[in-house]
Amino acid sequence: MASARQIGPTATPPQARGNVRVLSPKVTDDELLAMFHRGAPQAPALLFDRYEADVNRLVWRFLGADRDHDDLVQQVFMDVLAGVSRVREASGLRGWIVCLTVNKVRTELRKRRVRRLFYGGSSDSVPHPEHNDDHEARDSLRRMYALLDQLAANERLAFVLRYIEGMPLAQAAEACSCSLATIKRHLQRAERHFVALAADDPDLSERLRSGGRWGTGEPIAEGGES
Amino acid sequence: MSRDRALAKLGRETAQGLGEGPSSDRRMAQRHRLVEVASRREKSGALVRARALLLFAPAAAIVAFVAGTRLMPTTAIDFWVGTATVAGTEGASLGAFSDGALPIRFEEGTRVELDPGTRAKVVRSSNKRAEIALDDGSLKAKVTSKSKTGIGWIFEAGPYVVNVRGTEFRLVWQSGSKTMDLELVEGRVEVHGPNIAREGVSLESGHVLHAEVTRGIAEVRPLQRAESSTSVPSVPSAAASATPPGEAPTGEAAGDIAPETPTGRDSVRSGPSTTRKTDPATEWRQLARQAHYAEALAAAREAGFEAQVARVGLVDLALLADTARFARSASEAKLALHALERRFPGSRQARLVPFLLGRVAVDLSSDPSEGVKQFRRYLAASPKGQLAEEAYGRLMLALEKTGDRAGAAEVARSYVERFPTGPNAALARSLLE
Repeated sequence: MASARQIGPTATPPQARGNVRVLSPKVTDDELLAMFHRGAPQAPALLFDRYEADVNRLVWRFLGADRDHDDLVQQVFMDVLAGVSRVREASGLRGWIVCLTVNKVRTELRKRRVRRLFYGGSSDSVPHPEHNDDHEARDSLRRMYALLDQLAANERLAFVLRYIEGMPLAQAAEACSCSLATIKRHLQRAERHFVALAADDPDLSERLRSGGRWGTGEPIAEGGES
Repeated sequence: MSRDRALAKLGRETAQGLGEGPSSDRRMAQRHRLVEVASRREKSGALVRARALLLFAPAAAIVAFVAGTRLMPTTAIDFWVGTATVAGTEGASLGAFSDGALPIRFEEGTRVELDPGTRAKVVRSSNKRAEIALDDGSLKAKVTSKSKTGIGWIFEAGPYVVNVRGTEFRLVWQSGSKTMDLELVEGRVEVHGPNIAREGVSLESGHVLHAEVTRGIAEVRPLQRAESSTSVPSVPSAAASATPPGEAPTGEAAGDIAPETPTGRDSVRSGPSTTRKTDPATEWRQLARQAHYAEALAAAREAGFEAQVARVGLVDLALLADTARFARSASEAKLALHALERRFPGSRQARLVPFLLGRVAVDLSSDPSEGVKQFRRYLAASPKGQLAEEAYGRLMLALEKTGDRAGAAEVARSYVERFPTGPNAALARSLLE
């Protein structure tokens, strides 16, 4: 039997059968699915490496720098792990994971809405702690998400996917598992509510009116997204 | 400005203010948690299966008796990639650098060596079945017999599947031309794939299977005929190689497989014995260019190795250093590399010398401390050099070998920052866990 010294204190990861170590995580969706179908022990880690950026970004944008962010990401991946062996088409893997993420956030938003109805309380979002040292911008983000908290779950999802994530409508509909007509309806309601709510916020209403940039007052250039 | 456009702009600014998500530390923690949970789930699943088996133990015993080892639990067999003492992982892409072969050693004794520039994957390595997918290039394999280990070996080359029972062979897959060549040195294999009958073709030792997907060709010929045939493009011949696959090299790191063997038709047609009639000073160059490194080094010694080091020009000196390195002579490789640096300072080849000295120290001299020194020297002189990424990776491993885990973690951190998607990024991240 060959023997080899392992590297680092976590040389044998808990999920590993035998002394395995990731040397290169670059796998295609086809390979990833094949690994899940045959029960390869390192498949969860490789799946995470491949899709964590998408899931993290989506949850982050839906909820802001939320205190439950990491738990939600974890739950999304647990749902993915529970169902991935049933996925047959590699081309559908990414879309399916996005759908699971959207569904997870939708459920969370609904729970929070119910909690707020019964127990009161404010937004779960906190000022962005990591990427933005500009207090004014952080404050703007906080107020933006406080306002989004007041939208219905489907409206918020549609709004974030369309305007913050910048997703085309058809793709947003797919992510929300609904028709194009439905996502348009959600979006129209979201816009209407958002603008109405923003009217009470001097900063946001001013930005919507003048198109000023966060924290800088820089005018919005013409020729933006239509 | 329309409401739509104002909202879109607001959304973009929000996205910009938010960024892409939490810090990399938090992401690593997420990953760690997920892997732990997945592992626990797998274990608890195994426990449930074990309990169920216990309930049906009598029936299971009968079935197990009938089915023999088929019901034995599947466990992984370890394998090690390259000269590092780092275990490999299933599914990970492996690539041999263009300047050297990549040995893969399996716990049960099988040895596979990827020729320079080859890409492959160890798809599976369990106690029942092991699979290697050759993405592009060529490999040599010496597979331990299934009768000894119970492991069925499968090699995939494009659409071709080679079932191995315990044998020694060389497999080539050129993904561009969709051409496969299999040379069986010893044992027996069964091949399935395009233009081959459904039951497959059984190949005996001393035979070559040449198959081309696009031209619809699949033909078996004796090795001798294949060598003289013009229809077999660039089939490397293990039988004619300077260092046969089964012959053990002098160094410890490459397992039982020779570090370098000829890879072209020339090497098949003109073996080292037919070229040794010329002046040794000319001969070593010819042999080295044909990748007969052991013979080339012998000829260089005959011509006076030190005299050659002192006399030859830049290109030949680099070739001589490579020859000594590939023939696994650490002392002569160092001699040539130091001379290269001293005699041709400022040349492109001289800039690579610290990196190569690092490889010699780690791979041939088992001296990781010296390797650390040399890789650091290379990175200090060429922080953005063509081998910077590889130097960081090797420095990380060399530090680990010296026991300096803090140093290795520090380099791993730099690696992840500089090369977040580099081939060693996952390894670096695992060092930071």
